[in-house]
Amino acid sequence: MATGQASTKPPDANEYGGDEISALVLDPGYSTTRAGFAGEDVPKSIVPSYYGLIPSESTPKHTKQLFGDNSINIPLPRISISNVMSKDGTVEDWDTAAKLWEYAITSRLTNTKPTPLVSNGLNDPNEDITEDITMEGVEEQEKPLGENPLLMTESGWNAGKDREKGIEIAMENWGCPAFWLARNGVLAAFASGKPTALVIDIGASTISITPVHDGLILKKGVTRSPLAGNFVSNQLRLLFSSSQPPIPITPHYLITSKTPVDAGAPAQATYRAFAPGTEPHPSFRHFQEERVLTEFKESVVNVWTGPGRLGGHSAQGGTNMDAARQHPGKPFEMPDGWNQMFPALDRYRAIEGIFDHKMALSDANNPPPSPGQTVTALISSSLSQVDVDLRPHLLGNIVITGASSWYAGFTDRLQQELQAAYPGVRVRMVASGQMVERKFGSWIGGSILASLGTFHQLWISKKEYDEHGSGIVEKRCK
Amino acid sequence: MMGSDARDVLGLPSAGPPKAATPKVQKPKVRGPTGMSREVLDLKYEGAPPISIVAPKFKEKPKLPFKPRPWEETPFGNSARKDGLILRHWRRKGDVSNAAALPVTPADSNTASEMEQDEKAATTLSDSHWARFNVKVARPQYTDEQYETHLRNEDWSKEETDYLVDLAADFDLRWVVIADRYEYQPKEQPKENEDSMAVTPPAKPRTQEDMKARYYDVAAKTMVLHNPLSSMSSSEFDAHEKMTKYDPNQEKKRKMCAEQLMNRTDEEKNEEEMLLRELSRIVLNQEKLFNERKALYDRLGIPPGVPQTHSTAMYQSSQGLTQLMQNLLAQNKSKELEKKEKRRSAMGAEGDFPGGPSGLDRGQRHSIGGGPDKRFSFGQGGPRQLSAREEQKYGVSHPNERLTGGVQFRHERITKAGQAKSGVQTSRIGAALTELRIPPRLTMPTAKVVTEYERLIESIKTLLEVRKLSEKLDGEIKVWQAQKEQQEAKDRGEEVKEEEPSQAVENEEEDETKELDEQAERRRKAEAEDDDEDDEKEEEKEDSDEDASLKGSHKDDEDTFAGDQDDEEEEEEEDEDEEDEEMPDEAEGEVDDDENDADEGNANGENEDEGASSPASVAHTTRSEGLRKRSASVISHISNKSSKRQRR
Ligand SMILES: Nc1ncnc2c1ncn2[C@@H]1O[C@H](COP(=O)(O)OP(=O)(O)OP(=O)(O)O)[C@@H](O)[C@H]1O
Ligand SMILES: [Mg+2]
Repeated sequence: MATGQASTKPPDANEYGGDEISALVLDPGYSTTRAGFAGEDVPKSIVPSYYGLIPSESTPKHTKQLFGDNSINIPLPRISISNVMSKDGTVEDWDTAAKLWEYAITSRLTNTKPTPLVSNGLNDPNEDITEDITMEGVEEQEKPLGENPLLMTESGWNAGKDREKGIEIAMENWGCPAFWLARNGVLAAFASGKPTALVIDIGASTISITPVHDGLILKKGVTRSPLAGNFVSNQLRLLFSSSQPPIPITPHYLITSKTPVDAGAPAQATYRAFAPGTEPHPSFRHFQEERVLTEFKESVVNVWTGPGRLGGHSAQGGTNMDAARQHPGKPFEMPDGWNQMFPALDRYRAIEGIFDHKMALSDANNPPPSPGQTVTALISSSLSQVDVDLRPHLLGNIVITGASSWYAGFTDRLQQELQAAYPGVRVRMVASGQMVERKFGSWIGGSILASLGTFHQLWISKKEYDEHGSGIVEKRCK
Repeated sequence: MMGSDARDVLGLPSAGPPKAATPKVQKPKVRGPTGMSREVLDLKYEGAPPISIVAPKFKEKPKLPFKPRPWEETPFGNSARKDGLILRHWRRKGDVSNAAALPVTPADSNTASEMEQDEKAATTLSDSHWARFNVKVARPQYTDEQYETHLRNEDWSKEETDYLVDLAADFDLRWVVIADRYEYQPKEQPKENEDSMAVTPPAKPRTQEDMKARYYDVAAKTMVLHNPLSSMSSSEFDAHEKMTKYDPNQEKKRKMCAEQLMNRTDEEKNEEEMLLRELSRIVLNQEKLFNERKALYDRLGIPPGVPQTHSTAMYQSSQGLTQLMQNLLAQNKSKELEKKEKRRSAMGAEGDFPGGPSGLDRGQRHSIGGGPDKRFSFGQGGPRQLSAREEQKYGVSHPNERLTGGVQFRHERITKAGQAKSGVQTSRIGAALTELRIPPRLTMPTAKVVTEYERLIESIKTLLEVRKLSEKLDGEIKVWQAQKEQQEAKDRGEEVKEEEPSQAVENEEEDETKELDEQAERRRKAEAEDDDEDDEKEEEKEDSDEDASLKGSHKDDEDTFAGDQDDEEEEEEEDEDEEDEEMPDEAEGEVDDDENDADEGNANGENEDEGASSPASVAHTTRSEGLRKRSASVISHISNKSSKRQRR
């Protein structure tokens, strides 16, 4: 009885400062878009930022867009895959992004109907519905987020007009009563309970360093490079194609059946055949390969934890590469049943390029990274832009976030590299041991922020938006 | 066995009467979780219906001992907002504890549910509990007039000051952020005509310290404007005091130091720690060590050549120690003794830490630096890559040509530099150095200091040379003067015009001037000072002769030659430095020249009486004084420079 009562009693608001107003938090990334209610500890809706496109046969101009894990992984005839985000970590295709986000929010979170199918373009628009009728319908329709304030995240280098698009969509298309735009670096720092931190976010498309001071990013100190998850995937592709014999990556959708084979033996599987003209676009295969590679990254790839770099020498005089050869390998089975023990050197090699540009594999399509793009170089160039007094403090509060930081040994290695680069300063890392916290760091920070009572006064309300226009974002969300 | 199977066996109609059977069914038995499977139950209750049809019944509502209080989505406003945004949160219906926690607005907060959509609604709603956390820094307020009278600053326009003050208020005086976001762009000047480009004065780069200094200045002054110092409360006064005492330069220096501290390498850090530890160890054990040493001396017997004192003060300097060691070595003492000696030498080096660059000292340093070297350094295997700073520190050079002299110690270079060909010269150099208060043994003979020291010595050598020359010339001039006077006296006596000697001199000199090469010409210009032209020319003649002879003599002494050249260059440099000051001097020089001509004119035309006799001698005295002045200024200049170098 007593316990029953306790569970229904809200925690004392004075204790944690929370005051939830059913706000939504939307955190778009290159690989996935995360959405959920503020105050929860994981996003309820995780949707790939990739979307499928199926060209309509009758009118080639019209294409059908597919959103969500359930639809974009099916090899529908002539399906191609695109991404709403650019390689830069900023939104590229705003129209589709708005639809994708709406899908992410309405499919799982709000029970309001999504905007009518006719106007949201989710279905085939070859019916002859006159424009004016649909417009009337839209006017009457309740806007999908009429009740929920929305907190959106953006990257630290998002600037100019791109910052205003978010509020336009939220206010005009979705009818949000209030809106806020927050930097994902700041939110990741909040998720670790730090108002001042150096946030290292290693996502899919970019690795970014964001110095945060008292909840505000230091713009000049934001640095980034493309040596993130996709880079590691490409390293793996290079590694596979350069091994003897080359290792093919056969995605799941191509396999109809398989029989187990011994390690190293050729795969025995029957492959799916597509009728001519119905093959999926190469981008579909690439996307599916990426899924296999993510699996490989999760289970096989490891970071060399020293001492020294993989390309360096050990204290005994031998090379570290030789030392690495002695380490145990790890088995991995491809979707077609082909499997092998992957030697430790390969496991280390795939990610070493993030720390040591000289160790990165390259070919014509994958130019070698420059020395300034490695994590350590990014961090030092970021720090050099920051006030001297703040530097030791930042180095003592390094927050690591992003799913691509989940490789075993990543934190140790970074700690070593930084301590060597700044011997006079105590370098301390804050890296959550929970996969979800690492993966959704910035979303969780947004969830915390949007559920704080003190945050109520910060929201940009619809009224303010109507008064000042979308430029208000630049003024308020600093 | 299922009931239906049984019926099949018995041939009963399959459209069995489940309905009829229903009443027989014992509900609780079916419903109750007996833990038996249905088949077992079937066996137990024969004739049990194949399917038990149970009217669905929900679980009873629990009878709770308290009345449930529903939650409701309550709208609320926030007085910290000006736009009356109404948000909703879930609250217990009629929750008093919550309502009490809220600072209730004049209207009753419980009537909130009847809110209207109009503006006023916000005020009748419960105010957010959090509104009171909305605090802002006070922005320094000033009117345009006040700005003009009190706050003007050439470096800061009013617009930029306003921008700064706004930014500071926006970011609540988080200076790191303010400095990061500071993007003041001066307004474009209105175009005068179409063609002219819009003139935008370039934005001045502002450091965080500049911004702080300006802001504190403005804030402190406005504070006084609004509230004179006398009526300030103590906290206000403190704030004012702090703001007026802010020193941006001090801050900048501090930051520079902080940066250096941060950029220390591992080796440097370890070395520093090691030295500190060593120092504290020495300080702690001083007494003991002294005693031990004394005991050791007593045991060894006092080495010859060492005065019979028990004071160990003389071994505190590395010189003393070297001597001592030599003595000991000469006595061919055992290895063990040597070892102790070395330890003592380390002690000595600590005793006067910035002690000269003696070999012992060096060894000690090396051993300290060598410790951490052996440790594995991260990032590179094998030989460590030195950073540019470290290379400078360790004096690593990458000469393009082969080094001719081989390995050299810096102290050797120093002693060599101080020595001249003749002993007199050497002692003079020594005297000059003492005059400049530069110790014969440099305190910090870093590579940089040593090169500068060498340059200084070279300059001193030239200076001495020049001084010697000028003295010689002075003497000569005096002789000529005397002759001239004699001649004049004779002339006056004989009424015969006699100009030959001076004329001859003039001609001679002119001829020589022609011979001067370009370099000398340059030099003349540079050196044209208040000195007599004659002096200069003579000097130059000699110099150029010397050069020529050097060249002719197959550069047998390349070093000196190079040194001379260096000297000249340096002197020129210095002269350039001093150009501003010298402008009037040069003018004077010319005047002097004229005077000389006039002298001759006088000599020619007018009769000369004894009283006015000495325009020449006056000129001479001024000349020599000028020379003295000049050499003094050169000395002071050099010493300034060198002391700067030393400090560096
Ligand atoms: N367990 C794992 N180990 C290593 N890498 C992983 C793991 N799980 C996912 N990844 C990789 O992490 C990347 C996705 O990371 P994350 O979700 O942080 O990126 P994002 O936020 O969507 O992208 P971005 O920050 O670049 O916009 C993908 O490249 C994926 O392959
Ligand atoms: Mg991300």
